[in-house]
Amino acid sequence: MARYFFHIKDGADLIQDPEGSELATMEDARSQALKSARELWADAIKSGRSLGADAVVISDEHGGLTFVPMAEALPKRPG
Amino acid sequence: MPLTNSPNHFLLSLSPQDRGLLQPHLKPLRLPLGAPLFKADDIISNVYFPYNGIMSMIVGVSSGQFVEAGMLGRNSVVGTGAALDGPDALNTAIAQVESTGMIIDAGVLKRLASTSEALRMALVHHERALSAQTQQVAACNALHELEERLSRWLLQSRDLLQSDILPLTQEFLAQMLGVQRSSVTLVARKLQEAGLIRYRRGHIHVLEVEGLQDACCECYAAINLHFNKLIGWSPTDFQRQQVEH
Repeated sequence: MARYFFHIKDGADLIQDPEGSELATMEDARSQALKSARELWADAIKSGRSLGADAVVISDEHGGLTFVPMAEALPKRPG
Repeated sequence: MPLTNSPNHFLLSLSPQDRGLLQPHLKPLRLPLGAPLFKADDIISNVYFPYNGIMSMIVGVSSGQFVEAGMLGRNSVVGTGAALDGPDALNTAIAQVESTGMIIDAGVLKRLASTSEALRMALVHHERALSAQTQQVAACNALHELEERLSRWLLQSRDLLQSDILPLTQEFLAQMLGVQRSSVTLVARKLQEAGLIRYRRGHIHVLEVEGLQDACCECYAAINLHFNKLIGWSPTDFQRQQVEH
């Protein structure tokens, strides 16, 4: 298990996750980031407010950053 | 501690005769953070009168997630069902914040309640108060936005703890509210930017109570009204801590 932080990038602003979560793998962290992004999209659409985020930024224990753009979380069109 | 000065509202509200019935059977209990008093489908052994901390009634689903249906503390009693009816736990009760208080064997309390109608009715009123809260929370979870729900949750926690410093992680909050971490991160940041709270790793400090009351939905007032009418309890003011800078 390792600690991963899920920050939110909104333009130049980085909204920090103060505590992080214990997860088994980076893949689990990506999966959680996508779930989070989907919920942020859903809340924005339902409330009519702006998204307030361009990406979920995963930070691992060594400070390594992985960007998950909000667009990646949108449903794929059939095709 | 003599029950006439009990920090627990249920015990305090009993007549001296009814308190006298319970007194010989009460034992102290300490529940560390996260510890369950009982889990869904367990047989409830003890009914609990908290003196402090917060007890959350939580509902688990097959995915492993848990969502909070209501919270109680020194204002009430946990496990009333076992003293009124069957001992099977309907859901899980955990210490959201470490809690100490007194327990009584559920079977003993049930027997005592059958000898005193006033005692039995006090238990019924507290059971109804919890029911009123969980019904309001169900409506709130379905209809209100996360910022309103979180504000309500913070105000309720603050009332039970009698403190502006809430020892809670955002991860825990997300679980209790049934949302993803990042949604809590965004809403917490918004409340912080508005000067209503300040959060650090592992705790949330309430700064502006009136502001949180404005940010929350009608459900905070509705739950307090139910508690006032059913069990004669309302949140009280307390000495506020120094605001940290």
